[in-house]
Amino acid sequence: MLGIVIGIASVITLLGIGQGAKVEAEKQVQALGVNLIYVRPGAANLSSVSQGQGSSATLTYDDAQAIKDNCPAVEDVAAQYNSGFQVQYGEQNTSTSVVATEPSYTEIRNFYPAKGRFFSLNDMKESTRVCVIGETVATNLFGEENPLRKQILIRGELFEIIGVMEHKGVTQMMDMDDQIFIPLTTGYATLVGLNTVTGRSVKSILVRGVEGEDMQAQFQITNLLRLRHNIQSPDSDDFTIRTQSDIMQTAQSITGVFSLLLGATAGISLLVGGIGIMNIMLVSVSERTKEIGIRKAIGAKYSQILSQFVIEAVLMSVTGGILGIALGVAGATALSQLAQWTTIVTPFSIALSFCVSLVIGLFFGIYPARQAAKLDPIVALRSE
Amino acid sequence: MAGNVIELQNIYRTYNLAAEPVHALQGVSLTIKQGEYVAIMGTSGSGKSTLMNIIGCLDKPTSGHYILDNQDIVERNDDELADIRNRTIGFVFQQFNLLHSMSAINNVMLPLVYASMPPAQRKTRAELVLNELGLASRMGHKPNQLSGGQQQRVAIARAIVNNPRILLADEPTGALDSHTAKEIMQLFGRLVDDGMTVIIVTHDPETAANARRIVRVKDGKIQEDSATGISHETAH
Repeated sequence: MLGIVIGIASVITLLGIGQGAKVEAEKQVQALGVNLIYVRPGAANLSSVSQGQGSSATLTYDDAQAIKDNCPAVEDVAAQYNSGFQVQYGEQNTSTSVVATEPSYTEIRNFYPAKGRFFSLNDMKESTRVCVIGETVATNLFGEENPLRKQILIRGELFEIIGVMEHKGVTQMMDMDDQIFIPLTTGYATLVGLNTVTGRSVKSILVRGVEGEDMQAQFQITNLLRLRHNIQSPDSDDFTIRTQSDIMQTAQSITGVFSLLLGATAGISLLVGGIGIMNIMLVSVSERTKEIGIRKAIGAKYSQILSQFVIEAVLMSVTGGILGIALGVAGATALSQLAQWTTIVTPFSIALSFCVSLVIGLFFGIYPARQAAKLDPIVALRSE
Repeated sequence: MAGNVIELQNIYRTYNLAAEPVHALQGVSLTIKQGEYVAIMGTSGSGKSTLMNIIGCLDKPTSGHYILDNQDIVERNDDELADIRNRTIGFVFQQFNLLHSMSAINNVMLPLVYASMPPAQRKTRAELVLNELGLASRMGHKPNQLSGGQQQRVAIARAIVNNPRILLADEPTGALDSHTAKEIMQLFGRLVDDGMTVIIVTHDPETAANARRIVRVKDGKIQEDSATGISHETAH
């Protein structure tokens, strides 16, 4: 029975972890923004040498403008250029990611300042030296101090803090709170400089598509950029487009595999538990041979003996199952309390575990029960 | 009413064990009428246990015919035999064979469970029988809380609770002291007076002497079949 308890407990806990991971992954993808489409320079295959995304500077700020102006399925666009820099305030200094982008960034990423404000179109036009810092950066540089209106040095250039972003946490393996945002134009003027070949290059273009028109947006952007970059068939794109649903699908397939693995592990322990039940019942049948003989002598039919032992096996297994469910819920709760994992125990997984323990009792109870029901009453009566 | 309850016709029973077949019964024919009180005697190895198993429908003959209560038994399958045991035959054993995990009344109700009687009726019927056997105050006791005589009376209550035609007792006094044994034998006498057919299997002449007819078995055959001369106390 211990086998069933452990088996069911692991099913509950592991399903809880799997479900938690799935929900967490979906939450993170949702947190990226609404109807988000990423356009990055570089493609898997560029001039027959495989290069990673973002490995070349083929996308420009002009491309971003063109997407915004020419694609009907696109609602808004934010080009961004990000790079790691040393940041200094008084004695404190830290290394962080500086994101030069457009004011539309906040709406596209669904990520807003908690204090102060984000930079405006006017800041873009004037290339003002203002910045908005993430929560982690604020803590690292200022501790308890209020960062607003303070001046910081980014790679030796002076910037005024006009806002602090809200807490966002880690999405897509990236700490969203450990960033500093500056106007894209200011970035070109002070930190990045212009690329002599491509002009104002960008690291990525964030696009918000019109609701439900992901595919059209992707198609329009692809055509536009191929035209602008003068790419002819059969040459492949020099950029990569990923939609939020692509990312969601990837996340879901990863968590799906994860859940399957966890489920298989739990399934094996259940199998072991079932065999345990079968052994206990076989021992019980041989210990109670005399009883079976007496019952048969006074008129018990095959089916009556069979059902008695099957019911006993099912009761044992279901009792184990209920204990296992309690233990599993406790385990899942403990994991989320102690290890800070998101675990979600659904009523479905509890119902499933209960049914599984029932079926295990039935399945592994039948063989010993058949052994009992088949006993010859004379032989059984004679045994001690 | 005094029809034949049991008719054994030329019964053979051969066990195919190990190297040589064992011929436990070799052509036994026996007729027992309704309301008879019969003792089957024989030493161990005489075939009397095999004969009892066949009469009790626990075993089937290798050849021959067995008519029980006007039904041919030989062609019946195991479940039909279980049903016949349940309704037609009550068993009493030397070691009582009560289920130790159950109270006296639950033991007595067990045959009624297998007869699919509704629970309320089972309880009424079992209480009635236990009352008749003077066990009213012992119904809730487990077998290990009862004396040997009380346990055997519970076992008899279980045997007769379903109103069988035949009571089949295998060395019923073997585990009892002589005083208690006498009480149990008197109880059998009363059951016979009430019209039940009682068959006792024993090797003990004193026990057998209570019966009105003695059948002696030796080497798988009936050696002697005689009346004891004890008359029906309330003879009709």
